[in-house]
Amino acid sequence: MTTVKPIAQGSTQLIPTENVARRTLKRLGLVVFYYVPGLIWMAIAVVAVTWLIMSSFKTGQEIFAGVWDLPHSLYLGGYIRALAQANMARYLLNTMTLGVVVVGVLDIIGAMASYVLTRYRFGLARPILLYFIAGMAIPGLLVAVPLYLFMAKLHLLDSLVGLGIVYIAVSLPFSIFVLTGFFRTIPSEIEDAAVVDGASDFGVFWHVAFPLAMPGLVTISIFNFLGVWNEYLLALMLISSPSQTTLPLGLYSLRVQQEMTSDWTSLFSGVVVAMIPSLIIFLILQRRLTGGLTTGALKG
Amino acid sequence: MRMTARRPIRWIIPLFLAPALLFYTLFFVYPALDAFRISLYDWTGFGNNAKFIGLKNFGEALRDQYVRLSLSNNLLIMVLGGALLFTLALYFAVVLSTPTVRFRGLLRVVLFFPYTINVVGIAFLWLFILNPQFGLLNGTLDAFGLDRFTQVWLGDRNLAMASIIWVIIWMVIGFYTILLQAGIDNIPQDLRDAARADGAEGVTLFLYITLPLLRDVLAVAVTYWIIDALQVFGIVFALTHGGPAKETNTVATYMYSVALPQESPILRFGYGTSIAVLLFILVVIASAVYFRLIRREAVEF
Repeated sequence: MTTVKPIAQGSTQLIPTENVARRTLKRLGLVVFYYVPGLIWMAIAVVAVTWLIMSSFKTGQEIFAGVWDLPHSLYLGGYIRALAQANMARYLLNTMTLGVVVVGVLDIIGAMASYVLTRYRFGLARPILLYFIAGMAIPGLLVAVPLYLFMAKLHLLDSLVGLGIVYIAVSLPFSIFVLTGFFRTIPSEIEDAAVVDGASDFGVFWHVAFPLAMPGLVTISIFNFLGVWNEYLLALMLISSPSQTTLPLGLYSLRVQQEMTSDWTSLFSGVVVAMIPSLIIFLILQRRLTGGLTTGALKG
Repeated sequence: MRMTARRPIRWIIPLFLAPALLFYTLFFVYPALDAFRISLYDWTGFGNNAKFIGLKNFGEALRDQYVRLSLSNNLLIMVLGGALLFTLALYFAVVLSTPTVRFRGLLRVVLFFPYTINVVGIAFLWLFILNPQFGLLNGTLDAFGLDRFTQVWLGDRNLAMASIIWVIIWMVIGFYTILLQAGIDNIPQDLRDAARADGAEGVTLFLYITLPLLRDVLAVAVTYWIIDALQVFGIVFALTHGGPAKETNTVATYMYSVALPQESPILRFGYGTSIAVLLFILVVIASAVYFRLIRREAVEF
């Protein structure tokens, strides 16, 4: 925008005032165009989050008093009720653990399958890859009821282990889709050199291919963790007791309680508690996250 | 590709494929296929009371006015929400890929962070903001003397759907913006420079250079959106619970309320699943039609 065009400048000299005015206007227009919608978006986010946090420290009456009235004191009752009585701390821990385990298992078995499917030549490689990728078209809604019945039969209903298994299965198509795409972009020379040096098939995988696939693994880890963090429908179907509850479910049950007790403060606090960890993780990982996202969604 | 023909058996192949194949087949493919069977039964889910009724569930679903209403809500989200979403996302993508614009990193954070918060948290944040008694939106309108614009935002179908669409856009815009921005950044700079040298600027540059070259990425993004929009569940379930009067249900929330109703003890697994099967067929048809429409040779740089 600030590039100086010599020809245009020549004409500026002739009628300076009009041109300066027009240029100023144009620059103003560009500033409005480039910054105003972003500023509005930022204002919404900042105002909404500030208000949420502020309200979470208000007492029940204060919430109804005035939208922008500051709380009289830092009332912690909402947090105490949300974390202790309503088990939010437990749900948070459950979801974190579930996320880490699911991501870990998917990294390993996803990488194993993708490695074999891209690095070895065998007749079934292509059909098997297509079989995996076809799963990306299956909506979670379609499997909700059948999974409920199936898990009941296996006595895996209402258990985080069962839910974790389901999350792994459901996330495999996308993970393999991204990882096979990724393996294809790494040249296999280093692995070949390791073979010449006498490494076994398994040795090549663990010591050479797996570390080389790290950027791809980071991508799917982010996606899969966000998936577990957000997944709602299947959790709702498969989980019923508080000890096995994940964060989205737990937050929802807090709302059900709130409808009976009208305790808005603890619901506000619950939302803050549910938001803060992901917000912190996001701010730390933000570059990697958005970068990994495009690798996964486009180049995979 | 490594030459493997000489060694007869590679144990690594079955061993490395087995875990993924097992998980995937047993806990995803099998239930998906089973859905088609279950949809043919009148089944409350427990014991041996499943009764084979052929395609009767599908007949009922096609006549069910709430299935139609839910589907029209999904289509509303898909078309109206999609038009808004992609207009905004394209705009923000252009801004984010303009090197002279400042604070781009901050803008990216602001656009993207809702995507990382869990769905129920987002729904509740907006439930608070839109609340007619203590909500931020009405409260702020009041404070500025604009109280005639205050509304019971989730009170009737139109306003509630508008609210739902807005919250969905707020939640996913970062994802789509970053997708499109990556597409724009992939367009070779010399193409845009050449167009600039020919006098193309601003809107012209966008319409005749950026947009056509963004076609493939845009196609991918729209496909994601079609699939997402037809499957909306969490936001609606947590924000309006399909209400008022079941009028903001999506197919997914309606199916859930039929299969596992909270207000009645009668579970209808067969019927619910037939609705899910219909939705699945619709997703497949919609994506197929869409792909047929956009099929053309890929843009190569």
